[in-house]
Amino acid sequence: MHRVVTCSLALLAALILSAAAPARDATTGGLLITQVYGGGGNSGATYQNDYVELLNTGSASVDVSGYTVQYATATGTTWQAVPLAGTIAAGHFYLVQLASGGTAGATLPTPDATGTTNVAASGGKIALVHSTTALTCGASAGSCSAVAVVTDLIGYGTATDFETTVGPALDSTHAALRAGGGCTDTGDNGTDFIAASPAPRTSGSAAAACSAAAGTGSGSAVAAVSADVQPALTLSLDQSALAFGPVLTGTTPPRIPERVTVISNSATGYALSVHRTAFTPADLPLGVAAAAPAGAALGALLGGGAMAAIPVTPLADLLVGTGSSTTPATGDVWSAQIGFTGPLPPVAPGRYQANVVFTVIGR
Amino acid sequence: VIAEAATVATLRLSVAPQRLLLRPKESAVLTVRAPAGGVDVAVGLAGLTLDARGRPRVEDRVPTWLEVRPRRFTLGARGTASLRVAAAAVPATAAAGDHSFVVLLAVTDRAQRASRILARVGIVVAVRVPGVLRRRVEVVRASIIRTGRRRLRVLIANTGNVDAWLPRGRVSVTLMRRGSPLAVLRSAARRLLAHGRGIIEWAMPASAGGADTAQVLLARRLAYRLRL
Repeated sequence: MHRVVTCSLALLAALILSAAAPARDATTGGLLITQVYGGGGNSGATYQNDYVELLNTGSASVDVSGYTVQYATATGTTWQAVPLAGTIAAGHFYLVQLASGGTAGATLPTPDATGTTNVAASGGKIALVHSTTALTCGASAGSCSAVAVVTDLIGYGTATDFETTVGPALDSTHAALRAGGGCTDTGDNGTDFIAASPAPRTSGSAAAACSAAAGTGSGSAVAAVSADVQPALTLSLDQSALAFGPVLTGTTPPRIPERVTVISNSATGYALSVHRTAFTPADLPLGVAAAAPAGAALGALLGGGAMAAIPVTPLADLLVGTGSSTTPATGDVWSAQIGFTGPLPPVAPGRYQANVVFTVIGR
Repeated sequence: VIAEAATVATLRLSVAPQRLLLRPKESAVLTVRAPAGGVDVAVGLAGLTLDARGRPRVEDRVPTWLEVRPRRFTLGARGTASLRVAAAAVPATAAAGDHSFVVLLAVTDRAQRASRILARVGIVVAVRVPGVLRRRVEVVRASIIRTGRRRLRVLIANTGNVDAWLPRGRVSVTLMRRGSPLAVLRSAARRLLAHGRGIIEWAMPASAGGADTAQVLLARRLAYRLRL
């Protein structure tokens, strides 16, 4: 039940790696595609431009001159290449701004590279390539992964090529986000990526907290240190009370934001749910909407930003969502909104009160 | 209609460990921490089930075999409290194997308001009754769901009497075309309670179909074969 962290083993492993394995290729090591967004500028879009986000998960800076980000349609084998320039520091992101399909959406943060490729919103293929030559692969699953210069690949939606299984279908408000804050890489697009609200990061954004790559230092004496790290579960709410203020029957009061943060160092994940008591003296139709953090899955009734009724105890809780791995140190932040699912019914004037309960349980 | 005025405050509660395994008459200590302090903590007990996709469900009306002390306490700023959980009320006729319950710690701030938001942390406690313990997980069947986007569904069952943790990829499906693998689908990590059943689903790759077959593997052993 207790997880024992033995630093001596970790140090020993690092020593063995540095002695027996070749050094990580500093020119290619650790570069990943961490986000893809193709809805830029389309009707209802979150951002005005398509983009691809990269992350250097390695322990050294990588010079990306000579690299390209390439795109092909879901079934196509004709690729368009956008050349990259500069370096990506260890642990840092790199944003490639692409074309716009219109004027809708916010402006992207200042990108690190720009291109004119128009990426399909729902399905396509994006490759990070250590070459400026356009690819010709992609007709079938696994064909691009077999090309030596392909550093990383994501096929999403109805793409004909992908890593193991295809990534999620996207739209104007959903990007493909690599789980674990950009760190998860199991070689399976269907597992590694989720569809979530776009959240582009640039070289100026905070560094990712991926596990350290193989060390490059020289050997030293080994001291045995151990500690039992307990699996712990933390739930945090930004607000402890709701106040809709004076409201009128027949109207739908504005929603109130509530940030719910879950921190867990257990790899088994957690489930977050909500229920409430009935309003007194008469019930009102209280609901919740939420957006899932990267790497977590939103409850089925909350998909697409829908507001779902919060069940009244003793009915079963409404599932807000689940996390399936260790959270970042700062936690999984669920951006919830509490409001009413429709206009307030014609009830008598007075003060109406209820309690809302968010519950997190380790899986 | 007037809702009450609110004072905004942050609620935060940490509990460790995240899960307990007790035998009858055993006890363990939970450490409870509220970094912001100034909170009242109420402790509840309930039964626990998992739905088909492995998500926990609290069963409030299920009698539990646990005793917890204290049931209500107050934490000051950066305060820490210890909570003893004991499997003290296990019936003599209880069947061998794991029986799951949950200790629920609900925190509210100390300001007296009628309308509040509560944060609740649930710690799963499995009580393992001694006897013949059987560990067995099986693939019951696999099928293709054709409504909407095609999905491959695998039904699994824990026919043993001990909870099972299935690490990522414990169940996998290899899609085969003319004897060669087309794609490999791997399950996410999940728990399956004793005597519980679960569903694992994957979106089918668009290229799979026709004469292709799916081989369902459990712990790398062929458990089910399906024609697509």
